Amino acid sequence: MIRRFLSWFKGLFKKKKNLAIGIYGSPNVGKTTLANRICVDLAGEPMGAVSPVPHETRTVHKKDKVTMKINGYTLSMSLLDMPGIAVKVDYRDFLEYGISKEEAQKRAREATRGVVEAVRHMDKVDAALFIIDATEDPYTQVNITILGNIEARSIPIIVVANKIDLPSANTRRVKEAFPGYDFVQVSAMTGENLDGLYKEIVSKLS
Amino acid sequence: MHKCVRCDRAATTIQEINDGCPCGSKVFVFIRDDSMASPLESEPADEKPNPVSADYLAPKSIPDANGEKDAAEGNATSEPSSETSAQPPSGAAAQQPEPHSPAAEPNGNGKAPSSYFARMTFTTEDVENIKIVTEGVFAVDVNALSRNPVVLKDQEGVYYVRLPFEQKKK
Repeated sequence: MIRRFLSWFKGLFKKKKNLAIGIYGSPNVGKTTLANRICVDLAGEPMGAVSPVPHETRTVHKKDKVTMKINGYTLSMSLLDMPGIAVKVDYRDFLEYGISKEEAQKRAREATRGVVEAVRHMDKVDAALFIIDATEDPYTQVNITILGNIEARSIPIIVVANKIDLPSANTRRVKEAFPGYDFVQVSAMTGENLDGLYKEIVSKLS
Repeated sequence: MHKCVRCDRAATTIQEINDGCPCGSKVFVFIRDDSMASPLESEPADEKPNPVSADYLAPKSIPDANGEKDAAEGNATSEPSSETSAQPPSGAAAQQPEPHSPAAEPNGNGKAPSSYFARMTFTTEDVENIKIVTEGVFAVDVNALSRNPVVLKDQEGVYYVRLPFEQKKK
């Protein structure tokens, strides 16, 4: 009873915040799928196109006025869907999806520009959701480097293990790979445990 | 001898190399003596200097410029970066022409093909800040490097990115 009263009392004095939250990760881990899910849930419309072809998101997409209300706390944020960060972009990887050589080369150039843009945006976000494909090995140089760079800027991070709807998902491996970080497992595709993610965001940023 | 990449002036002393060229550039390239006998090197000194001054490299065999823009087209989009420089490996063995290589043949007038110079310059369309001009010869966009991660263009559509690695200060 007392705890509930204190929580209500604190809520009276909490200010509405507007934070920029960046969604980071390697290509094809489900960043845009998650961004769309969050935007549909909280802002009523999706953010960007998704595709099985890597590097579908090649520029930073921003959605303003995404508002979250949980336990009396209101969090207003700008969601930034970042291009996937990779250390090598090769047009030949796109050819298997039926893209012409010229188009693939153009896509590779844009994707590389997107990587640069995503890295530069690390200085502009207030918090980061770091998305990891739970079906893949999380111990990659890119994952470690991105996390290191975000942490170096003292930006709050939530590690999100995505694709838990898939049978090969191994969330324990992800959690063990990056101990010490706030951790949530979700399926952006099915919406599983999105509430858990929202609670974690509010808890982390409030 | 060492030549300034900006004005083609030959440095006469080590001190001059250390202090920089009178034109302001501090980037020199080493040219082996026998390459000086090349007809390309005997061009008139008063000719308008190239922004990247790479004439001495002209007869080098050039990898397939796959989809590479023509130099004129590249230059039309923006001015070549004044910070661009070419750094040959030690000595100039890599720049020596291979006499029987078709790609090494100059373009009629003894000049390098225009695609070569397109590789030496950076335009607003370029995402990379380091280009492999030919094997062992790189063009570096120093301005872009100061702001962005290192992006190396291997060939058209193939890029390598070196992510910055920062660690939290303790």
